[in-house]
Formats: sequence, structure tokens, C-alpha cells
Amino acid sequence: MLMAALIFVVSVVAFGQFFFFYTRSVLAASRRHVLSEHLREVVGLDPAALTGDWFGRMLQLVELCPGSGEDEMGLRAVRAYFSSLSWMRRLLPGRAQGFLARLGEWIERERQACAYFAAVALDQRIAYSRALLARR
Amino acid sequence: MVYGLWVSSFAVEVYLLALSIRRAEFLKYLALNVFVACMAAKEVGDFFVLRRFGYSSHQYVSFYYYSDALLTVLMFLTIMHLYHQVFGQMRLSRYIRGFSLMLLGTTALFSYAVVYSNSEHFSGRFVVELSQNLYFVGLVLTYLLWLAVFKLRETRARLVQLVLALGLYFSASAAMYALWNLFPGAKYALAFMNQLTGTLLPVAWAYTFTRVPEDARLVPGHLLEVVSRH
Repeated sequence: MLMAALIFVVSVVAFGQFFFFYTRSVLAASRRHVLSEHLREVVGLDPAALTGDWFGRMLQLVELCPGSGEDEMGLRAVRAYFSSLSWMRRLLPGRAQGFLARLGEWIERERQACAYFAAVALDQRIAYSRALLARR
Repeated sequence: MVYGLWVSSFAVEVYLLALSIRRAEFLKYLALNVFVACMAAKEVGDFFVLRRFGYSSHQYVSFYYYSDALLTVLMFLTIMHLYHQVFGQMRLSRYIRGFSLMLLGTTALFSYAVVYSNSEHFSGRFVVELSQNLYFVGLVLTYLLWLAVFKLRETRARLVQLVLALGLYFSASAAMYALWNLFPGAKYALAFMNQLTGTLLPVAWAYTFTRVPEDARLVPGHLLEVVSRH
């Protein structure tokens, strides 16, 4: 019983670590993508002004736009990561200082990366839909 | 719901195999592909045994868990393949292979010894205990591989994602079997979780092989940016 409990705790901690790095590797893959003019027109988005708060809206638009389905796994992982970041942010005090302030900044950068990932997914879906229409 | 996971898992496995054949990468990732083919064969086997004997039958339970344990052993070959890819240029593969096999044998013996001392529920407990230990050893090996990837500043994005997906799978499975060991009464809820974790690995690998090009590179150690060599 003790061994099973120990394995459970260690495995849950390891899962958290692997999930963190897996999601960051997925987010990293989207960073080199430059958002197209079409996306800027459709969403009215200035990439420089993209913050973590855009994530929900981007995700709604992604769901409305048909795609090949290749990005589903990444979107699910990033959505879960974003939720855990938002949860962590809520736990931080309003006027944090020192380490907590740096943690807050880091959380916001990560949330912003999640929003950028969703914007890239939307951009790719728009390109996919346009290609489908062009073929018809 | 479980059937839906079952079908989607099988479909993703077939997709992965078709993709690697179409891209002529079957031999390059031979161990992974053999493992995925065996996973697909197990899904089909599970389905026919379930239809023939029923969910609560001894035959189905035996087939399910013993084939799962065999699949986990096969998974060790996949880990060794990934170790070989990471340490290939350092001529350490022989030692890693020996170490992995020794660890696997020790785990099987340890599991046998644990259950032998509690032999009244031999069959069922042995399988859960063995699976829990095998998955945990897999987790330890994958964790060591991940540390090596990190320390050696491995830049191949695809390799990094394959290792991380393996880590997710082993940690989720080890946690689930440990929970099963702690609460044997919750086996139906855990059977669903088991199917869910079984779907996790092929889906994550399919994502990697579809979205991450072979030549994509990560900025060493930081997992911040991917730079393609196109």
C-alpha cells in the first residue's frame, strides 16, 4: 500500500512536469509563424497588442472555423495549460512584490504565448478554409 | 464513451502507421511503428475477446491485462530506441540497453515477489502490481531520458516531443495503476481512465508526426522557439 501511494505521488508530480514541458514545446512551435494580413483583418488584431485575455476569443473563433483537425491535440493541451495559468494568477495577491511580481509577469507572458498559439491556429484554419473554397 | 475512445484510438494508430509508410519513415522509427502496430492489434484483439466472452469474463480480463503488460515490455524497446537516438553519437547505446534490460528483469522479479507473499488474490493482484511497477520503471527511464535531452541541449523538436509524450503516458498510467492498487473497488471508473491514457500516446505522437517537421529545431535547453531549417 505504501509503495502504491508513493508511486502515485511521484507519478502525479512527474505528469505535471511532463505536461508543462510538453505544452511549452507545443507553444514554441507556433512562435515562428507570422500572422497573416487576413487574420488581422478578420479579427481586427494587432499582434503587438495581443495579451492573454485574447485567448478565449481566439478559441471561440477557432471553433467556428472549419479545419483539418490536426491542431486539436495541441489546442486541448494549451487550453488546459492556460486554465492552470489563469488559476495560478487568481491566487496571486493584487499588489505582488519581489518573487510574486516576477511570477505574475511570467504567468502573463505564458498566457500571451497561449493566445498567440490560438491566433496561429485560427490563421491556419482560415488559410485551410480559403484553400477549400478556391478548389471549388 | 469507452467505445468512442476505443475507436478513435484505433483510428489514430492506423493513421500513424499510414503516415510513416507514406513518408517512407517506417524504418527510421521502426520501434515506435512496431509498438503502434501492436497497440492497434491489441485494440482489435480486445474488441473480439470482449464480444465473445463479455466485459466481466475472466478471459477478457486476462487478455486485457496480460496483453497490456506485454505491450509495456515492448514499450521498453521504444524507450531504448529513443535512448539510442539521443546517445547515438556518444557510443553509449550498449550500456544503456544492458541497464534497461536489467531494470526490466528486476521489476518483473520484484513484482512477482510482492504478490507471491500475498498469494490468495494471485492473478488479479499480480497483473495490477506488475503493470504499476512496469509503468513506473518506464516513467523512471523516460525521466532519465528527458534529463539527458535537457542536459545535452537536444535540439530536435520531434524527438523532444516524442519523449515528452512518452513521459505523459507513463506517468498517467503509473498513477492510474497505483490508484487501482489503492482502491481496487473503483475498477470501472479506472477502466475508463485507462482507456483515456491509452488514447493519449497515439494522439500525441500523431500530433508530433503531423505538425512537427523532421528538421524542426528547438533553441537549446529553453523550449522557447522552434527554428526550421527550411
